[in-house]
Amino acid sequence: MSPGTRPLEPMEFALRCIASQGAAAYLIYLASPADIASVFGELQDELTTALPEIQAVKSSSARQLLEAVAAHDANVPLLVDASAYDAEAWRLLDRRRSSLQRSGVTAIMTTTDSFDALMRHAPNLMSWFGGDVFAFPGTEVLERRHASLREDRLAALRAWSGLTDAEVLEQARAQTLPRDPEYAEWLVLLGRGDLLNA
Amino acid sequence: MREFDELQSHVLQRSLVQAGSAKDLMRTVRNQLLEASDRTKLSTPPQDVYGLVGLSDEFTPTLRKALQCARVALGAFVVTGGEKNRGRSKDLRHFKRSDGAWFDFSIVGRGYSGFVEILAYTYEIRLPVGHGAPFVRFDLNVPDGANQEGELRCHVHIGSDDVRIPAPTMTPREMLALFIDGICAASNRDGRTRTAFEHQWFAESHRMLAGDSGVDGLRERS
Repeated sequence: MSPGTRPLEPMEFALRCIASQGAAAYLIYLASPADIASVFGELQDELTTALPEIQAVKSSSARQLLEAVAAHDANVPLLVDASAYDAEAWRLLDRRRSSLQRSGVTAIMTTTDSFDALMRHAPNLMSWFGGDVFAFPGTEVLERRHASLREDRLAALRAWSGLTDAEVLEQARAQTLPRDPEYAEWLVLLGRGDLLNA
Repeated sequence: MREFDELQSHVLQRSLVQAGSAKDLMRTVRNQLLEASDRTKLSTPPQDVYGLVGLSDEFTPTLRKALQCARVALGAFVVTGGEKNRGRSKDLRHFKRSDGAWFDFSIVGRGYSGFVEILAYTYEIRLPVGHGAPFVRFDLNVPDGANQEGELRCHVHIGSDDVRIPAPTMTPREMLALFIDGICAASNRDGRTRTAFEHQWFAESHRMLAGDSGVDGLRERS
């Protein structure tokens, strides 16, 4: 993760974009090349739910971005995949930054290498982002958080019922598990949705 | 109870299938709660709504990533709202209504190609003092093909975990609308005067509860 960037889950970054709606705002979200496609899709889904008018721009060049910006109203929120931009692309956008001025939210996704190029070759454009540079914390970090939340819920279910995971699974296989929704959730959290018998 | 077999069949015919994925369902639920927060029906702020609504599935991290990359959404899942709280502790995270009621929920479903099916749910709201009952909980149990006779699969508990009343199946949108805007005192009139029967019932219930746990136990819990 680049120094000065703040880790945020995609949902939290989307919340920042939504909170910025109604004003000219430029935000950057970084991810590794391996994660860019899936995270961009996740952001697009999150933002579309709250901002149905959002336009996703997957541009392979700076010129395509300039064309896309010109094609949409200035107040329409934009989500841009800029992961392919190199030093030359950022230099062009820095020179043509007045064409990028908008009155709505512009969220740019890119890789850390591309972001390094942005910082070095587009200083004027970089000043627009200020401190609004965030980064996907990585799949492993999210999985650890997810596993922790899952374990909290399992612990609550065990405390409520007095049963162990093994006892629940045994009863589910024997089709004697109570039909309460709590036990259904328990099976899902244990990765045994196949035992839901539905 | 066999007398309710026909009623149950009627109730359970109502489809709980929805277009979209488990994530779409989660986002729809979250947006409904955000909208309620925006119009101050919920006192839970928007950033907390985001943190309270969650989605878990049955997959390993590797398989989940593969499915995400393929934009495929299958398998069993649970959408959660607030922490698991059968003990009804205000210390656990929950949604708060502006009138003091508070609630949490969980929805279990299975994803297919292009749609999800709700299999089970539990939604419980705890009401402010004087609102008729301490809590109301709607449960939809998992179907039991082997022996569904006599079981009220879809039911409501009003102030008692032991008493079940038949209830219609409801979609997540309907349930949340009920909890956000529904189960509450009428806004266009003062509360009705309680009857002598109600006064006596609450007084005897309090004595019974005090006897169950001891007066000190009641004080600690309140």
